[in-house]
Amino acid sequence: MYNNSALYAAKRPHCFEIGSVGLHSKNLLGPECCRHFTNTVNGSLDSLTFETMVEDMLESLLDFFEQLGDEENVHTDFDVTYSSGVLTVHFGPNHGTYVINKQTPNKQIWLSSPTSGPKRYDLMGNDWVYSHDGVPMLRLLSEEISTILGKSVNLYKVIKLKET
Amino acid sequence: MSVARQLGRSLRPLLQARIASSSSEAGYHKNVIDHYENPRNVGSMDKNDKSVGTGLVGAPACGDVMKLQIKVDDDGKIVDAKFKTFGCGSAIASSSLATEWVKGKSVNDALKIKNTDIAKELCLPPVKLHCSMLAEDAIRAALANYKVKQGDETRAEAVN
Repeated sequence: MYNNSALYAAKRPHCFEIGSVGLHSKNLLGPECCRHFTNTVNGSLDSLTFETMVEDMLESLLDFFEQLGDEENVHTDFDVTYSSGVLTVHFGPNHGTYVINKQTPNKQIWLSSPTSGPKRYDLMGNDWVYSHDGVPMLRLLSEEISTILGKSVNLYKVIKLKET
Repeated sequence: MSVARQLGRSLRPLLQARIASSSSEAGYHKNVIDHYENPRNVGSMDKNDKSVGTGLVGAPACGDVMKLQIKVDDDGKIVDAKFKTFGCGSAIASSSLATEWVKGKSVNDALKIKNTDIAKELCLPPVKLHCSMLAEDAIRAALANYKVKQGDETRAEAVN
């Protein structure tokens, strides 16, 4: 799927971002081609809904990570900060730093994981999913945090997804 | 007043030390600065040239746009690469490094370049890992564009 996307980008240079609600020239091939780049749900995602959903998710994650710091056996350097739509969680020198932020122009959540690197999540229904492999952000984070803590964590049990 | 001045005098080295250490933590790595100050392969190629593949990724609204072009010889080896990037120092360094790395590689070997290698080489901090991903996307888009053009060329020849 990824290689097909790259091929599409090559054929349609006016579509900039692969897999995002990017800028495109409306007077060229038009919406049909760009639907392959625009998230089919986010094609109709308005800014207000995006802002509400993304803030809800980031604040839920903030609550979860802050609680982790209080309750779990984490490194002394464990730290959580949240400001201007950027959530930073430092797990200490052995496990590294997560940065999860709102990316308004693309209507995405961007994740930087010290284990699995950068990913971009689109709102699909009421969940945030990586379009290249279909893995939701909460699932990826659950797996990685379970490894860090050495115990099973399921973020879907902790965070209630908001109804759209 | 003299007490305050004395206090200030004794605190100053402490403050200076803190500022120095925090700026080195928050600053760009020297590998990134090197690419920013001495960028390699900045420029453009003729995108209509059949042996040139052009990758254009990113979006101005996000603050990052990268154009990466490759020139491939008849043996499928990348003989030249050029880039133009609008973005932060890490984005510029990532795309500059990408052009350095693809040169001399075959089209298939260039596909193996991963964003993790770029990020490691430039010691990119967590928030800038996305720049290395974009550089990997730019390489793939350029390779895909080249393959499409070659495919069209083959089809045109078959028809004629």
